[in-house]
Amino acid sequence: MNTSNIHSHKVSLRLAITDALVAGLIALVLFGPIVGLVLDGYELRNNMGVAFIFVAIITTGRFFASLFFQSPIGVRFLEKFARGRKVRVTVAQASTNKFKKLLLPAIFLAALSYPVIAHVAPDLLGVFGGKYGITIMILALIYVLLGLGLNIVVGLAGLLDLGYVAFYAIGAYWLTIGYAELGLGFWSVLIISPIFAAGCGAILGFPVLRMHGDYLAIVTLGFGEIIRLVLNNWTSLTRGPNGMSAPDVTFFNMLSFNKRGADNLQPFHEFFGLEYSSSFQFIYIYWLLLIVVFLVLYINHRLVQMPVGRAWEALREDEIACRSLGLNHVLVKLSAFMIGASVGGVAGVFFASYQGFVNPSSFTFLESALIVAIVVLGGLGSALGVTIAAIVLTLLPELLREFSDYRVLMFGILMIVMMIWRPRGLVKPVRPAFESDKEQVKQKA
Amino acid sequence: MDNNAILNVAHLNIKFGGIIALKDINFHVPRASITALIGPNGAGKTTVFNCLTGFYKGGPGSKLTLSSKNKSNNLVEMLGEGFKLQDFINPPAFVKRIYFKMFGGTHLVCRAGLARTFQNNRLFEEMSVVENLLVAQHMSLEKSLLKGVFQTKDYLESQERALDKAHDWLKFFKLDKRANDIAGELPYGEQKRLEIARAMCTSPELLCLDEPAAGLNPAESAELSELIIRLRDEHRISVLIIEHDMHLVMKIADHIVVLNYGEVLFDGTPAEVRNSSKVIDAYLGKE
Ligand SMILES: Nc1ncnc2c1ncn2[C@@H]1O[C@H](COP(=O)(O)OP(=O)(O)O)[C@@H](O)[C@H]1O
Ligand SMILES: [Mg+2]
Repeated sequence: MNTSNIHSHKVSLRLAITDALVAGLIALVLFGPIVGLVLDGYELRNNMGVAFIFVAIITTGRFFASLFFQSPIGVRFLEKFARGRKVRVTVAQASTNKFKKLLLPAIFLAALSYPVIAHVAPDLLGVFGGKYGITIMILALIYVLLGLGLNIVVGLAGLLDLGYVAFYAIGAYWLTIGYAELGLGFWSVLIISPIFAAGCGAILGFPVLRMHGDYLAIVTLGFGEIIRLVLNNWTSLTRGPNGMSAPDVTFFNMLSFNKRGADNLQPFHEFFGLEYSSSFQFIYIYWLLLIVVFLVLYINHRLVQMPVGRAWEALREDEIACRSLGLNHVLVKLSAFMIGASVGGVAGVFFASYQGFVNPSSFTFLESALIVAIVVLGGLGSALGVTIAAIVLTLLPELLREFSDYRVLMFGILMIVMMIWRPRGLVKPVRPAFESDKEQVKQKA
Repeated sequence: MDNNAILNVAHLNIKFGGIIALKDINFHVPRASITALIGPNGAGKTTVFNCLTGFYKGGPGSKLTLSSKNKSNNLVEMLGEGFKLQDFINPPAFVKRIYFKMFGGTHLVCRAGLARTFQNNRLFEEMSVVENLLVAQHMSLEKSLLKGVFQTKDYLESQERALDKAHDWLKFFKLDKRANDIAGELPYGEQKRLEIARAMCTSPELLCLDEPAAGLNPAESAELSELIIRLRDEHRISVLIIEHDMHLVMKIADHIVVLNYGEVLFDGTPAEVRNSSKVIDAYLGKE
């Protein structure tokens, strides 16, 4: 509607009024039932006054927006916007920037020292101090892991997987079932979990990966729900909705974090001569998780420059071309699916052990959607962007507790704004550069 | 069947719904020569390529034989042909059939030594030029995850070999200045050349080009024909080329196959094709 007026720089009041009325009508249809009718006990209460206020705001807003976009300034703004949307991928420049090289170790050290500060001086960090703060950070790191894992599947290989939460659940239940049925402890489960989850990824992936695009999305969505329903209904193994408890996390199988010790293990605080605190266990989980996250980041960084990673991205760009170049597309997809699944499995183990308890309600579709949102916001393929998006999306709700009712609304607005303003996510895609000098063919980056 | 031919196409046929797109196509591509496949639009030229590379499955009776890498490859079988009656009394054939049904496909044709380009460019547009060429060398690269993560010596060596090869082909196609540019941002003519360079990185013996000169200006077109001739003479590549530019075809082709309405209309040398009244009628229309 606006773009048609770009060349005749004349403001049409009629157009603005039509735009405003159309927007108002849509708002009325949307807000009428959502805001206007409030479910109160078993009755519907009429709240149409508020709905009409919303509609009025939207109608006037649209009127002025329409006028603005018809003015010369607005037209220029739109043109600039249309140009800015074109994706521009760049090739990395050889960076000898010392600051950049020091940045990563600095972040690692800061992240490493965080729980100590949070434990010793909780007031310094506000919401993020104390045991509660540490658990929030653990959750943030778990989402970083999930984001990185799904990023391989969705961002790199371009396979829209809406059931990623299945592998998260598999990891978590692998810990609790392994403990209950096989007597495995945290450490044995953690070490086997990537392989176990990758195996599950292969079993789930092989039949579905011959599908494309939307079909794949629907099928994976189905798989996610199937796993949740199985966990809910196979009560003899999973105890259904009652959930299962996870084994205690031990200090390298040598010390216990319980106050009195457990399973013939000496208590951690006694051994180190510290005063008992229930935070120690979480600090320990946090550190382990931090190391795992950095390990995954490192492997991810390598993967994208390795033949496998390149094949994933090539597949995302053009599957037909890939096949014509001798790549077996099913195996390439399967490898992405398996590696993504293994990361999700590890995240699940950490989730179960940090909660101490799991039940199927933690693994709903909403969770999958959140992880997809993290990957999309982070910029499909960029590990850095995904990491930032995961941390922001988990910490922001904590900072904005007062607005917790509007969490989903704000989330939606954020998504819409991002899609318009930065459709390729927070971080601009950058390709690795290769030296073109034949004598010294070496990879930079 | 010609024994010196790198590719033998026999009784190739395919239907789309009720339309017979190809019926009983027979021709061969001699080794280290340039064969042109010409014909009016909709004649079925691209469909022949798609059958060769497995994007379409030829109908019953189709036989495609690629004699490359010192063996004779039955392309139809590689692409996962349906079961035949005699498979059920011959276990090894049965197992082979199942194997190709599960793991066969286009990629095996490429690995057997047939590379192709597409009528509409299919580059990895958001990847750099070198990366496009590295993807094509996937099969010869060290793919072990552990070796890659730890950057072992043989991993780095295999990567260096691949980069060397990529740069050789970039030089050949005069793209060496573009190595680190984004493929999608190259001018059209360079994208066309890059697609051929990428196909060459798979080390093919037979190169199938689908309208490589479409959309090029006369200078670029002349440059391209030069390069195709050099591929044949210096690298002993057999080329099967679909092209509408008759000037180019007559200049470079050793052998021309003319298709019309899904049938081979004529098969011969450029001079013969030029003088064939059948071909002239098909192109200019009779009456
Ligand atoms: N996937 C398909 N489905 C239906 N018809 C097709 C398909 N592919 C090709 N055809 C038909 O086959 C005929 C030959 O097409 P094509 O091989 O692309 O011609 P060209 O010689 O111009 O490359 C056309 O009539 C086309 O409509
Ligand atoms: Mg065609």
